[in-house]
Amino acid sequence: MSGERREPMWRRYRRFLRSDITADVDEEIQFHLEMLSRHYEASGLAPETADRAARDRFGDVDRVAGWLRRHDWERERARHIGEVMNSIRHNLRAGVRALVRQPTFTVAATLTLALGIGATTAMFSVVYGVLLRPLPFDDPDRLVRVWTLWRTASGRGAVSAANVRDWRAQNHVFEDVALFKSNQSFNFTAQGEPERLLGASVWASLFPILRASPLVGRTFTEDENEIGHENVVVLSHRLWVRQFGSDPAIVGKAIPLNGVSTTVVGVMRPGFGYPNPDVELWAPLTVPADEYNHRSWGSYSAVARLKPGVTLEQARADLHVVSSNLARQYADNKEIEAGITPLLEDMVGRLEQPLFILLGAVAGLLLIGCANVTNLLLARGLSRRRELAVRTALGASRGRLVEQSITELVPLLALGAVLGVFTAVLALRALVPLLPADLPRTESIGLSLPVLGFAAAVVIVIAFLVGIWPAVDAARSGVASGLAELSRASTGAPRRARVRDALVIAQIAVTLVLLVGATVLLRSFLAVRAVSPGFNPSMALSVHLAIPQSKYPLDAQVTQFYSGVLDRVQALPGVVAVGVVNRLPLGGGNQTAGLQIEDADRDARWPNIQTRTVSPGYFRALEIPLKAGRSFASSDDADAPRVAIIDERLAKMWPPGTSPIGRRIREGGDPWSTIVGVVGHIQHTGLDNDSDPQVYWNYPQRPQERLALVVRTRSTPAALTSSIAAAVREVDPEQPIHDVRTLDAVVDRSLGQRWLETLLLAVFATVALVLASVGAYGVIAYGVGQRLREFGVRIALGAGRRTVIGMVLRRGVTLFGLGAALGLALAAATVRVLSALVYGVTPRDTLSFVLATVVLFLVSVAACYLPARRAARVDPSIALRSE
Amino acid sequence: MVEERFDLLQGTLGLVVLKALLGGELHGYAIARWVETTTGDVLRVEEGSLYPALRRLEDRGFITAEWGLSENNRRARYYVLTAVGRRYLKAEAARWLEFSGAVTQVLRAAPSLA
Repeated sequence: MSGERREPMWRRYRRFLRSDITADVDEEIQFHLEMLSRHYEASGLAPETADRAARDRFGDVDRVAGWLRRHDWERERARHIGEVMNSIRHNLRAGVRALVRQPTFTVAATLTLALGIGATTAMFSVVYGVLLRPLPFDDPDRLVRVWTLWRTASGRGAVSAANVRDWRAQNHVFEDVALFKSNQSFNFTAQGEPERLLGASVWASLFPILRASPLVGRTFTEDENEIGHENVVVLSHRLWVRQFGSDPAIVGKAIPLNGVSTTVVGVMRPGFGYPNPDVELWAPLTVPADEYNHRSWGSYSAVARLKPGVTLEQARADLHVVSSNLARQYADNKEIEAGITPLLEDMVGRLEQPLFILLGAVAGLLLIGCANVTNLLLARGLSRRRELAVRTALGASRGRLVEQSITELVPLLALGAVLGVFTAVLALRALVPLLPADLPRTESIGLSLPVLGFAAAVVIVIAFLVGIWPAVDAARSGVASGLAELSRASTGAPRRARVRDALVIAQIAVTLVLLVGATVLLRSFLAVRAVSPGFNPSMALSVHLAIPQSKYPLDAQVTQFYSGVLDRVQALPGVVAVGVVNRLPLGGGNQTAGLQIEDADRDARWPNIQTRTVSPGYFRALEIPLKAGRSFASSDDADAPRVAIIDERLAKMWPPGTSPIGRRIREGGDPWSTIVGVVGHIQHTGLDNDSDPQVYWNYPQRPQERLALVVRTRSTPAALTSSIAAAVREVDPEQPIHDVRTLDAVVDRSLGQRWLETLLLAVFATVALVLASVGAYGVIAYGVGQRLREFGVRIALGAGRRTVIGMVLRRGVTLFGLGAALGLALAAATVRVLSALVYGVTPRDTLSFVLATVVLFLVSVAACYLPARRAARVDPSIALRSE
Repeated sequence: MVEERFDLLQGTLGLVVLKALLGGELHGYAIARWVETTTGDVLRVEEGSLYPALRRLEDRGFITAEWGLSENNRRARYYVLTAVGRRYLKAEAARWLEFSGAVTQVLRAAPSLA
């Protein structure tokens, strides 16, 4: 009964197809039925009767067939899965073994992967934390900031209480609106040493709008917005822990704030911080009645929540209607529009471009790293050709080789990924403290789940980019070509060498793009840094003071306080000059206004100006030159005629031949002030910002509770901090100072973001350069290694060593040339994305392009140096050796 | 020694099938025929339960199956006893014979059934 047992190969493969199981089962049953039928025929039945009898005898054929099919199917599946698992396990182990056997390759590839993955993950976690992560409020896309916009002018401004009151009453799209003032100072003197706390004054509706509920106690009620009921405060969680020991009994107790006994009514949850995470407490915002008298200018901020289902366009349309109604009603509102911006965009919109540029740069870095790893794998694949050829001869299919190739990559990728994440953690730990202080949402930067998910996606993409080529290569390596090459070493098929060259060229191109970008930014940074601020920031100290209105309700008292401080500080040894200003230049604060000139030409357009309140000594303290007229004097006090000093830029607006001195100007509804002097223009908003002209008022005539002392010193400015603090305490023992900084530090801080962008791009470009040069070196060195015999032959035949070096260099320069050409084209096309970031140079800056190319050229030549030397030192007798 | 037991009917069918294969490989139909022939048609194998039983024996590793060509050149699935199966057959056959011998003794003892 024995038949031919062995099944042909193709039948075995069919086993993997589902239909074959069904067919097999049917066939087995069919066989049995036929045999039965034949048996009955042999007993004398007719064929059809025999068939029927056979079926009857068998029983329920379909049920049995079904059972058998299901059984065989299950068995097949289990076995298949087992095979796959086995295969995977085997390949993984082979991969690990391969890594161990070739430590140089492993180290090089792993480090490259770790660098690429780490840098990309770190950069993305910054992008995610700052730009993409939703705000920590319920339904955060319903939240908007409300601004004052002007119909005929650009820009936006703070809102006035009167307008917000009317917008709130007349709109149909807001759930509610809340007015607030951020950056409020609260002097806290519980334990002796006065401390200044940063807080915000808010309307009670702020907390419901943000859907923020307190941890302990409550938030404000509506009537606490009224004057007389406002001596309550809500603490931040951080302050509660730090100052009050997380004691829930603090709720209901009173604490001294700004010299007034203030009742704590609640404590917020940890992690809640609006308008910024540094806010330590919230007080009710009381709007004095006279604030409602002026509509065209204001000093408040506002946030609102849109009703569910209302789109931004609908809201803007509705607000436009409301604004138009108000414009018809009030002359002051003629130019005014209510403007809204989604809250997240308002906070971080300006950072979108720089951050995405940096993310793009780091992606370029990653690609360069991947190209290196691919080249390493191809080179390794090269050396395993014999192994692959033998395997194929022993029966391994192409599919199996590809599967093997990719699975063997997994240990390497896993190692690279783990190290990469570790690198990212380290990089963030180093980077985050360096971030500019005004960068919002830096507390959200970290390796959160979405960031890790992104890292995983990056690794998968790398697996494809890097793994595909060696796998395809392995599949293509037929037995014949593999065995044929066993006899002598070669550079591999020309196709393979071309791939590696192409990768190097691509690397060089991307590197050049990064280098060009970095050079452009560097030149911009240097240009900005070279801008003269118009004043002398060295040897000068700034000290901030904020006195509580409750303690100094009268203007005269405010003036008296600051005069006292100025006198005492001026008397300190080592002080050359001292002044006050309400907002430091380049300190980040702006105060703009529309100017009115008495007897001005009706048609003349006078620009927006920056205004500052200063003391007479201010200009000396900052060494701002006086160009005409005089500075303020002590005679320009509160009872004297109002005076003003303008800068030379505003002075130029007067027709030549006439002098602005003696003319009168005013801001808004203020009384007219006489111009008594002209000073030099200084940079107020930023060194890279050509800011508006400036007007200065004298502080007794325009008292402000918050002023910054500017002290010019003979020696180290910081050394005077304690004496200044003591001098202040002489005037008011409960008054703290805060934000003490040298003016040099203030100027540097204003450059902080630009510096960081430049630094990061430069770091990425440098790392890319290193990676690309390593890659180029590898390819050229390998090429030389393969051509050693050829070089030996040439030298033996009389070619000079120089010729051989020339051959190597020529290859290197060709690679560089092609890469540079491609890179320059790419750079020219893409560098325009930097236009928002540059200063003093255009993005297509010729010098930058040239510099970057030269640097790249030098590095490329250096990469060729060692291989060229090796080629030149070849012993000609190598030509005589046979393989 | 096998711990768990088949269903009694299935158990005996399995035993019978294994015995059938002791002499060499057979396909399903041949097994059924052998049983009928050997017992003189006293025992008839239910075809509907034969094939599931064969599968279960395969699962337990007592037999293996391979496709081959039958005597009339048709493709048929042949079953072969494995070493494990052989051992199991010997052990289970001994138990069965002991068991059935004891039952026979009981049924033959007094009082007589006649």
